[in-house]
Amino acid sequence: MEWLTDPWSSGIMRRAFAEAIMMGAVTGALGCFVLLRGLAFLGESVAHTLILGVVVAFLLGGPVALGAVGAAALTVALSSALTADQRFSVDVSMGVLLPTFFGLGVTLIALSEGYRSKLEGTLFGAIFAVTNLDLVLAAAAAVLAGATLLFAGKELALVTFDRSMAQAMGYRMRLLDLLLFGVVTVAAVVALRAVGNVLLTAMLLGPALSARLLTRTFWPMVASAAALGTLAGVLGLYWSWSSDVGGGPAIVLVVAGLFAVVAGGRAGATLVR
Amino acid sequence: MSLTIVSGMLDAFDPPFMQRALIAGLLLAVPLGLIGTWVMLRSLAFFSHAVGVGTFPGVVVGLGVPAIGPVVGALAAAGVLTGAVVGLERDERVRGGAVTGLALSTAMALGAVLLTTTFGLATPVEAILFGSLLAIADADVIRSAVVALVTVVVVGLCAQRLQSATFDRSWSGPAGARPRAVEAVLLGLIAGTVVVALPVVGSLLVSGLLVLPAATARLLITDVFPMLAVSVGLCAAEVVLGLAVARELDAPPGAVICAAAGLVFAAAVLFDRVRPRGRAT
Amino acid sequence: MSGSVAAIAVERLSVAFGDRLVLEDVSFTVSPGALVGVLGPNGAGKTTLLRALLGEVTADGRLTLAAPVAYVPQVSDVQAAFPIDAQGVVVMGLYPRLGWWRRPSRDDRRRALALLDQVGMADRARSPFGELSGGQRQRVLLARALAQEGRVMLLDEPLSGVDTRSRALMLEVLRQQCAEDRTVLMTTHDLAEAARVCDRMLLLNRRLIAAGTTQEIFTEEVLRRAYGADVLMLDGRVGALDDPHHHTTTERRRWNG
Repeated sequence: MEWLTDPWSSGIMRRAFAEAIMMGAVTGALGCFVLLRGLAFLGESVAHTLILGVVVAFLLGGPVALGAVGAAALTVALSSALTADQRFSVDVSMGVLLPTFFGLGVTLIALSEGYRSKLEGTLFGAIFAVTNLDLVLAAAAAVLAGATLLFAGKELALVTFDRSMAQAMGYRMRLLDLLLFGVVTVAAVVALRAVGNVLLTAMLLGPALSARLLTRTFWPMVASAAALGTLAGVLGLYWSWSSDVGGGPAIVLVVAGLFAVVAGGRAGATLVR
Repeated sequence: MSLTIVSGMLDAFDPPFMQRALIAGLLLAVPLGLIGTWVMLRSLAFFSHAVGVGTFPGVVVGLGVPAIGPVVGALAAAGVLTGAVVGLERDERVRGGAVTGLALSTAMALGAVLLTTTFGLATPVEAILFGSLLAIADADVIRSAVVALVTVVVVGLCAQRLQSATFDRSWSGPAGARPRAVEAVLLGLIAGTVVVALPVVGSLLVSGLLVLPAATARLLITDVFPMLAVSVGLCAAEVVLGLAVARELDAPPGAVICAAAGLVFAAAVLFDRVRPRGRAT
Repeated sequence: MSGSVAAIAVERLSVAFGDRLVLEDVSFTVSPGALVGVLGPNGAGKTTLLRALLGEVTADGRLTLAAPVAYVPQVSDVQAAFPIDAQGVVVMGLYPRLGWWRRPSRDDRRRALALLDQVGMADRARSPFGELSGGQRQRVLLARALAQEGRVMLLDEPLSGVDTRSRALMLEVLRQQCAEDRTVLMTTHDLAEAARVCDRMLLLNRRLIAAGTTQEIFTEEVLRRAYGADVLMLDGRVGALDDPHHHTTTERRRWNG
């Protein structure tokens, strides 16, 4: 049974576990909204545009988190503006913003020294380099997400499922949308540390997708997604600890594996029926 | 001042490796522009991005197993991803590209794992993800030429079918345009174009070159046939500019070219807002 | 009817989606030169009937249509933001006869312009399709069908949501087609219009409830069989409550990214 307890003796691993557990729960739960609102490409694009915000903030010497949030906000605003033009669909506007911002971000990174390692860290995360400050931020994000779900969860769910009804009931759509985007961005910034830029989408979508197939109603789906996200985080780290596999990639592959199992199980069940 | 910039750019293409990159880039502009126009008009940007990213593990395996090679690896991976997305996105409950998003993220993770554990390659990861000026071989140039030629012929033959199938699918079938067949051909050409563009722009940003020049052309041109040509032209210009600047900055070409393409698009948007409203669409 | 070959002959047509029967055992014939209206409540299978006639869905039974068949889809089915002008849309109608790889000639473009003139859209020939109103777009799609020179023309709700002028112009064109011995079949949920315009009507509600002239169809008994409880009696005349909202679902499916 040593293999179960061994990792916990290391400070680095304890912090990594803490980060993974919080991140998994937050991204899993919030990912349900991303999934149900068909925002996968938006999520993917925001994940990639964050890098530009992070880099600009870094170059200007400002707080990285601010740069990230700024970039996310800019992405959402610009995509709104582009989509307002009849000629461009949501898909195309993301297809424009993602490479532009990501390209600019990577170019800027390349201009700074020792960029190779920085780039890999941003892309794939550096969960084993998590500091206590990162953990505090992650905890804050978790509290924020939890509070949002607690106090505005019903409204957000309604907006997700029946927008016209929510509008008819007098909810402030813009405000709720903003709230959701804000909280998801906060979750994304946390996940950046753990799994990195390009793997972030998996954390938002994977557990939610699996939960979608497992549950029939909304709140059980959110709870399942959070649980699955946490499980994937922990299992992934165990895997990473006992092999050469990086932390971020390991977690993502576990997420994918869980989805495959759930999807396969359902397919098998329908065949049997 | 402009003369120095131009001569500076011409100088950039002195060394043989840059000349290969230039020729490959110009040849690639053809399929990227032609296929990119349809990607943009049919809202296949996310899908193309997934195909691009999906080639990453394939390239890693191909580089690690010389018998397979990166090109075959990339093609196989692109095929698997296309099949998975087309098959899985049928479930109504998970629309909005969620499965596509998960698939591409998984592909990235898989590539990263294969890279560190199984293969531990000499090729640095950012060359695979963002392209590399130095890694463009003669074989890549030849492949680009082949795909360029095939694309011109196929798109030339299918342009009217694609036009009607995209504008009005329900009419086009009974009218004999064979939309399903033509769409399958398009998916194949997307995969082929992505694979040959990888050495220059890399897997993470190849979709940018499919979408950005075409989206820019959309702002300038109102009929699809001239739009195809303008996409190719814009793509070529952006590639040339991007390659020169990438060499100057010693930055990965994929990133610089996409940044350039993005800035050109932004300029086109401003021009479009500012010009007199005659033909808005 | 006078010994001439039927333009449309449908024998025991059935269409199922999964385990749900959408059309059941539908049989009818249509003579050349007839203007037929297909009526029925929502979900009656009107659009499915069209798609079956076009060969777009798998069906049991026998279908025979005089070729070529021209089709006018609903405006909402079309991607209006596509970069094409009105003239270009009509030229598209020439592709099946030209061959899909042959570029249209100047004569072809002139022919398209003439057809636009027939539907009153010649002055908007170079307007982007997306900038046209609903009625104008519908007229352009009709012009495209004219370019196909079909012996049979099938139209999906061509008059719904269309302004009065467009409606009148289109009906004029359709009557002209019938005068040229071409057959026109259109689905509609506008009973009043159908009664005014069509020679013959098919009343559909999964099964073919009735087929015949206005007088034959517009009795309370027949309408009730098709529309169930949605039949109104006003001043001794019958009408059915039709639902103009069934377009909303189609519209909402746009831009799924």
